[in-house]
Amino acid sequence: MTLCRMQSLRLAAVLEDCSNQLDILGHTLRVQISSERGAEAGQERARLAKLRRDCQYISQQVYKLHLQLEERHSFSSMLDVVEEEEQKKMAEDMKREKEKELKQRNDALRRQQEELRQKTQQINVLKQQSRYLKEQVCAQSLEIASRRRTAENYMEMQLQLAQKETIKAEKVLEEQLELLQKQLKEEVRIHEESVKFLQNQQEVLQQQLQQWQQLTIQMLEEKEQQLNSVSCKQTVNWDKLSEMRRKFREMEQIVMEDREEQEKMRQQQEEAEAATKLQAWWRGCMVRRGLGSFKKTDDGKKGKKKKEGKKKKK
Amino acid sequence: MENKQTAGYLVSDVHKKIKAAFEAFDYESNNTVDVREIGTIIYSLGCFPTQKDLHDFIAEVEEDHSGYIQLNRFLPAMAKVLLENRFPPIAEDLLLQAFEVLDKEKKGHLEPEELMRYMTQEGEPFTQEEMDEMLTALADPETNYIYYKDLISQLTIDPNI
Repeated sequence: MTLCRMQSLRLAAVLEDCSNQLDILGHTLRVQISSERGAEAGQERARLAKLRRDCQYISQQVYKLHLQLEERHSFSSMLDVVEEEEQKKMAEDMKREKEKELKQRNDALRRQQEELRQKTQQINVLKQQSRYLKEQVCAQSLEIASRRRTAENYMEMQLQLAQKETIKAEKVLEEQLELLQKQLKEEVRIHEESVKFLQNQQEVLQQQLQQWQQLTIQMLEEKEQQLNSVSCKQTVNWDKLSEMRRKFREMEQIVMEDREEQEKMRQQQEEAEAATKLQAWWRGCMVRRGLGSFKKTDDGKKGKKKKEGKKKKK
Repeated sequence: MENKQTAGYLVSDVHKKIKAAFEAFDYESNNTVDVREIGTIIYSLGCFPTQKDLHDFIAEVEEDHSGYIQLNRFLPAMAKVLLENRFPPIAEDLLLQAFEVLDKEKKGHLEPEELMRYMTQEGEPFTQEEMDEMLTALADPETNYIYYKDLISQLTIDPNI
């Protein structure tokens, strides 16, 4: 850690200049501190005071280094100071860390305390409620017990009453049972009798049924035979009827033809009569009028005079 | 009495008429006439017998199919016919009816062909001569139709002849 003489001298000169500069700065700061007034200036003043202290400290150390350099041509003191400062800084960092941690713990602790307080409050409320519920349970259990007692008493009385009634009813039912048994016996006897009677009746009726069935079969056969003969007759009659119809048509035609013929004959007859009448009339006319051949005869014969005479008579 | 007198008068009158008619055809004046003349005599006496009537009458008066008729048989038979009015003249309405029978379509007239057909084919047929005479006398000169309604009134003869 030693320097040559030249180097130490140069450094000492620089250091001297530095200490002077620092003295000036210190004085400037002292003036500025005194000039700072008012409420807001507190912080600023503190900051300036710290700067002045730092300046003083640095100027002391520069002085020490200066002395060492002049006397022994070494700068170990500065290295010591730097190391010392670093240790100090480290210790301060540690301390700050611890303080921070502590603060965090305190905060957590406070929160826990707050929670604890809230929980205790809740517990108190719950305790009050449980007390109230217990009271209610007690009251209700009492009431239930009394009710159960009352109900038991009532049920017992009812049971007794019912037992009495049951006994009475049993007696009545037994009497009825006896009566019914008697009736049943009677019924059984009657039933047997009627079964016998009805069996007899059934036999008789079955005999009748058989007779009637036989009769029915006979009648059916007879009727079927009748039906057959009737249908045979019907077919025969149908044939006859159609034959008759055919004949009737023929006859009708013949009659029609005959009528037409008669009509024709009548007309012919009429015509012949009419013609005969006209012919007779005309022949008479011819003779009297002297037409045709009569004229000639008249001309040749003496009868002419007579005829003329007749006509004159007309 | 009067009726009897009238009847007596009528009988003698009728006998005269018959005798006159008969003598007109007694060409040999022996009170006999040919059978074929009888029709003409009866017609001339105002009768209108049919051919059948004539045949029946001739059968009544002819003697043994000799073909001649004696007056002594003819006279009473004919007198009876006239008195009984056995062959009376044919009345107008009957003639009209007869024509109407033949006029099938009621035309009011007859065509000559129609009339000829009826007259020559029905009843107692005309000879050709009779037919011709009838058509000549009755047919309308213009249309040749026979308007019988108009003709009848002209041609019917008074029954009193």
